[in-house]
Amino acid sequence: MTAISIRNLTKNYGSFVAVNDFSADIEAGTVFGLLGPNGAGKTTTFKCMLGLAAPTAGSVLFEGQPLQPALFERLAYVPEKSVLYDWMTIGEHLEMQRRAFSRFDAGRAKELLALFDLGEKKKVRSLSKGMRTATALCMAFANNPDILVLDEPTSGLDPVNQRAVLKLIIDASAQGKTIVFSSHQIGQVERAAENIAIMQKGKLLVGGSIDDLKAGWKIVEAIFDTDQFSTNGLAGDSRVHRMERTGRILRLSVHTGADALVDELTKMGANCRAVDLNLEDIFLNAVDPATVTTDLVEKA
Amino acid sequence: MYYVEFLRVMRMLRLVGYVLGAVLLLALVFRPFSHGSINVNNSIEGVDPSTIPAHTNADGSTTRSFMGKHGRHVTIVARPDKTETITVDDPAYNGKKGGNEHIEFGHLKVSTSNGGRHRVSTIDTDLKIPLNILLVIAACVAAIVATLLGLALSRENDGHLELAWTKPASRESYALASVAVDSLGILGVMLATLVTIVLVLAIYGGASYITVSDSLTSLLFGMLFALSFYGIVLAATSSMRRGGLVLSLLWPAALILPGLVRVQWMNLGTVARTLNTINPVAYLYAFLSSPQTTNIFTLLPNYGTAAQVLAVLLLFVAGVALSLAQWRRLEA
Repeated sequence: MTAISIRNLTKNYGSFVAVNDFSADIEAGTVFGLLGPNGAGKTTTFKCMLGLAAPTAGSVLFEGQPLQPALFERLAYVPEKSVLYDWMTIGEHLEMQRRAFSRFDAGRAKELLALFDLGEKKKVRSLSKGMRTATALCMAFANNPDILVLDEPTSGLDPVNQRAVLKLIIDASAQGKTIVFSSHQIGQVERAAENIAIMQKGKLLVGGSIDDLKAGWKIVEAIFDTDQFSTNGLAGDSRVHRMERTGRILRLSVHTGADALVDELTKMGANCRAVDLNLEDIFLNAVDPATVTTDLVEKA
Repeated sequence: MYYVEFLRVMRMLRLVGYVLGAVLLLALVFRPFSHGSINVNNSIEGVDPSTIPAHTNADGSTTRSFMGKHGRHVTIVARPDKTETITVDDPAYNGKKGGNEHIEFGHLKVSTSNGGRHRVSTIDTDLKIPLNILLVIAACVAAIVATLLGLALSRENDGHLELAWTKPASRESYALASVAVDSLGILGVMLATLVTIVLVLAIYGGASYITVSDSLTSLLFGMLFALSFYGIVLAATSSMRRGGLVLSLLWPAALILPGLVRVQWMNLGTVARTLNTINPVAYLYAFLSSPQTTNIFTLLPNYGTAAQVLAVLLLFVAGVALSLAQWRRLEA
C-alpha cells in the first residue's frame, strides 16, 4: 500500500524554483531516504508534504487522501532546525504532546529521554543543538505515529546518539511504520532506507530501491606503483561512467564490463579489484557525474 | 492545543501577581505611618462607632448616639447612599469665638454654630468611590497585559510553526484556543487588579465608600476595552515574526491620538479622529467623559454608551478575525 504519494510537486518562491515537478511513491512500512546537496529542496519538499508550505503545483496524498489536520494524530515531523520553545522545559514539551496527541505514550517518552540522557526539568535554552534534536525525536517517537517525517534527524548528534537514532528508525520500520528521512550521512541512509530519491536544485535526479540502483554497477579500484600512471583511453571508454584519481589510486564507476576492465588495468601493472557500488557512489554519480569525471580526466 | 499559550498566560499572571502583591505589601507597610483613615468615623471622640448599637430609621438610615469626651454628645446618621452626618454637640464649649462657620474640603463639609458656651459641630461626608472608576483602572492594567499577550501568534511565527501546525487540529482552532486562553488570562488580570485595589482601599478604611452604579456597563466596557487591545495587537502582528515595534508604537499612539482631535493644523484633527475609530483609548475617553463625546474623538456618531461598548467589542472580534485570516495563510 502506498503511504505517501507525491505527484508533480512544484514550489516556487518568486522566480526561484525550490521544488521542480517532484514525484515519488512511498510504500507503507518502508524507510525512504531523501538525499541531495544543500539547497536541493529536501526541506521544502517536506514542508509541502505536511502543508507547512503551499505547493505551487502538484499534490500529496496520504493513504490516498489529502492531508487533513486529524492525520497528524498518526504523523510526526521532526524539522531540521529546532522549533522547540526556549523558555519551556523538556518535560513541558512532552506534556504539550501528551495533551495534543491521544496516542502519546508517556512510558515510551521516559524510555526515549533515558536513551538520549535528557532530563525533563532542563530548559530548552540550555540544550545543545544535538540535545534539541534528541528532544524533538523523543516527542515524535513518543506519539507512536504511523508515519514519521524526519529532516536531518541526526543533525548535531554525537556518533553514539546517531547510531541510537538509526536504530529507532530501523525498529520503527520493523513495526510497520513508514519513515521518510533526509540526511547528509549517506552511510546512515544506506543502512536504514530501502528506497531513496536524490534531488538537486529541486529536481528528482534518481529514485528507486537502493538494490535496483546498485544493480549492474561496480566500482573498479586500481592501485598503481606510482602516481605517474597514464589513464589515456579511459576517458572515452563507454564502460566508465565516472573516474576519480587520488595519488596512486584510480576509482572507476562502471556499469557493464567491470571484469574485463579489471583485466585491462591489471595488465597495465595495477593491483586491481571490482567491488559493489555504495550509495555514496550512486549519489555522486547522480549529483555531479560529468563535472567530476571531466575534471579528473583533464588532470589525468 | 492551548498548552503553550496556557503556560505563557500563567507566566504573565505570575508576573502580574508579583506586582500586585508588591502593591499590597507596600500598602500594608505604609499603613501605620498614615494619619487616620479614609473612613472618618472609624474613631470619633476615641470611640469606635461600630461598637455602638444602631437604630434604623424609617428612611433606611441608621442612627448611633453616644457620649464622647468632656460630655460631648455625638450622633451619627448613616444613609443608604453612603453619606453620613456626624453631629457633635458640645454643651461646655469654652472658646471665645461666636457665630457660625462653614468649611468644605474634599468629601467633608464641617459646620459649626456657636451659641455662648454651647457649640454644635456638624460633619457631612459624601465620600463615594465609584466602582466604575475602579473597573476602568483595572481594565487599563489588563489592557497593558493584553498588548503583551496579543503577540501570541507572532511568537509562534518566530520559529515554532512546524510544531504548532503539526498538531491534530486546524490552524483556526489552534489560534482560537490560544485567543480563548489569553482572553481568560486578561480578564483574570482585570479581576486580580480590581481585588487588589479594593484590598488597598480596605487597608486604608475606604472600602465601604465604594458605590455601585451602572457598574455592569462599566464592567462590560472595561473587559472589552482590554480585549480590544488584544485584538488590535493580534491583528497587527499575526503575520510578523516579532511584534516588538508594534508594541513600542501602539501605546504612545493610542494615548496621543485622542488629544489631537482638536488640532486644526493640516487636518491633523480629522486624521486623528479617523485613526481613533480603531483606537480603544478614544472610546475610553468618550466613555469616561460623556456618551455624547464619541463623535468628538472618533468618526462614529453619538449613539451612547452601548455604542461605545459595541465599538470595543467589534475591535476585538475584527482583530481576532483579521489575525486568523492572515495567520492561516502563512507558510512555515
